[in-house]
Amino acid sequence: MPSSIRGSALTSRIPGEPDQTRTGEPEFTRTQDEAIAWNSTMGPKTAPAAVEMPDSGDSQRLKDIMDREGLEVQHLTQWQLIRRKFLQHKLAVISLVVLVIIVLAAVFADVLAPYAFDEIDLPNRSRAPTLEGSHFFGTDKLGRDYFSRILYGLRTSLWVALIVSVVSTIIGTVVGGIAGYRGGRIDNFLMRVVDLFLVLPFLAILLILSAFVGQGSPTRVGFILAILFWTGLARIVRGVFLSLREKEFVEAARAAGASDSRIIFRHILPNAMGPIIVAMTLVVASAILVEAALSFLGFGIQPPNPALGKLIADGQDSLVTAWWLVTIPGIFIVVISLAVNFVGDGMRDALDPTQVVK
Amino acid sequence: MWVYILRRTLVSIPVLIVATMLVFFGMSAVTDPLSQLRLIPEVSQTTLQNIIDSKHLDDPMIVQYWFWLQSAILDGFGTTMLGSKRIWPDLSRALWHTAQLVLVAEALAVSMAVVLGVLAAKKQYSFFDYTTTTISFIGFSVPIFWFALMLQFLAVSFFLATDIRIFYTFGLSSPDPTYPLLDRIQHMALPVIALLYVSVAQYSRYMRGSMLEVLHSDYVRTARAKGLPERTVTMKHALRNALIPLVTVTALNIGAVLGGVVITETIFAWPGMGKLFIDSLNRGELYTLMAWLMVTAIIVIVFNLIADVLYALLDPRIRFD
Repeated sequence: MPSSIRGSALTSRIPGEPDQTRTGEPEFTRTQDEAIAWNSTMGPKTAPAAVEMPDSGDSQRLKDIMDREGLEVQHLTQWQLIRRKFLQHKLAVISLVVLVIIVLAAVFADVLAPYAFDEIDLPNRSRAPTLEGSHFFGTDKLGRDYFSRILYGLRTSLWVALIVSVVSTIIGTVVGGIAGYRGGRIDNFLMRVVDLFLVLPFLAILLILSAFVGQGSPTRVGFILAILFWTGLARIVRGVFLSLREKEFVEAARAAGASDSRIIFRHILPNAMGPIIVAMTLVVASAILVEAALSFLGFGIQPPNPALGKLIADGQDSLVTAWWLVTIPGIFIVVISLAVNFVGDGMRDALDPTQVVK
Repeated sequence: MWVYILRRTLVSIPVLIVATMLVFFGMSAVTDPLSQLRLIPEVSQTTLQNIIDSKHLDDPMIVQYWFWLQSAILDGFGTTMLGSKRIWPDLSRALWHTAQLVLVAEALAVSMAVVLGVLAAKKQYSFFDYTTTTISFIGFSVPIFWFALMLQFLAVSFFLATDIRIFYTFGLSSPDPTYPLLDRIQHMALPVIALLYVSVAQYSRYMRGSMLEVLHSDYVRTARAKGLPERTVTMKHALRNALIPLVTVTALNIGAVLGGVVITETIFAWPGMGKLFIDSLNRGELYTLMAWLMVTAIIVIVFNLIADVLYALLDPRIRFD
């Protein structure tokens, strides 16, 4: 994630105010004012292009008026704008809070869990959720504390989802970016490769892959999932690159003599960041569901690592006698996936520059 | 149109070959198909050698693939690696069982989605609209295997509490049913619901979206301006065009549905494609897996083609070229 985000806009929308912070970059003109403009840390930190933005007379006059009236313009950075728009999406905000709580619980599982996740306690087996002995979610067939197991299971599942989203985003952005920017034969070839993945049922290929290569540790499962998840991102990134490539600001940069890498990292990528971030969020949601299904079928995370899908698979024999074994991890999966989807929805709105802050 | 279909079919043959080749090479590279057999002490060296000879396992991979392709086309996928059982009879039976499940589920899903989507679009931002939106959001987030287990849980709890059996939770049919059709429906209901709900969530969103778009288009306004009753405008003018995107979505969704089938059939012990897949995977039965992939890939390709053809037939603005 880029560390600093820059840009400004006026709270009282005064049209055509040139942006003081960006005078060095004529490509980011008025239409870009509300756009997502990242000061990409990935990009080369070269000096701004030599073209200076002519200070328009309008803005000088405006400044004079404001000085005279004692008015002040409240500048908002791009992040502040995005945050403000995101905060308007109530459901997304609530989801984000829920998500943060769950992530923190998973990260601090060592501290929070009252028992070790593999601590067998046969006298206390198959107990329903109770406050007694802090078995908040009961115990399983071997008397292991289910609350602790779920905390560690959450950690596993979230770790897998993190790997999948990061790795597949990187692969997808590189492949999609090359295809969209270069076009022509390379584009054709890369997109045919993506098509190959679409002919075969996703889950079937995933199951075969993990059955023969990659079951076991969470990291491994994460990478296996990423091998299949990048195609969707590649398509999205390709589409965005394809359309941005033809935009005037890219043309202007090219005319000013910018190199390909400068155009890609400095001009196109920052503008493609919105769709990429949204797609990345949605990958997290589906990675959690797919990993759970994989572990449930026995081809994902292997013991001793507890994963949510595996917990459900282990509990399904006692579906009727011990309802909590299947129900509780399932509810966690639903809540996480739902929350991530809502956050993604909120981000889509917040990162969309055409949506106006109310 | 026929030229177009023919050309598309010809183009998909190399795609099919490359896809199966990749999977074949991948699987042969990372696994020894006879590993499970080698672990059994009763299996003699001669038996192993016979299998190796008959399946050409000592030859280079490309030769193996060639022999496999030959048997696939000329001999109905030949025989299994380990038991020398013929693959096609099992596969076709599984295909038939799955087809029943998928067709019923998809038909119900589409009709429910159309009703829900149209109502939600007609009453945009109403309570009904928000409710269906929320439910379909939940639909996207509920893992299908968990939903299936919850259905089983409810059905079993109901049976234990009342001693009335409405739904069976596993299998295809009872051993000797009095009413075969009713019995089949009782067995089918739960897996169908499990398959259905994800599709409904997805399709109804599309339906709502395309219906909204159509309802705001100029020709619908014209129809209203002519004084046509709202019912005619909705059902006759708007709905027909709003259905077009849904046709594509449902046809393209077949791959995901087949993925869902793998999970649903495993849970409900439905002897179809999904169960066959998991069983073959557990046994390391390479040739059955290959046959399975080939058949499903053909299904996906055919459905993609159907989607494109139907789209062109339904939307006069689209031409074949």
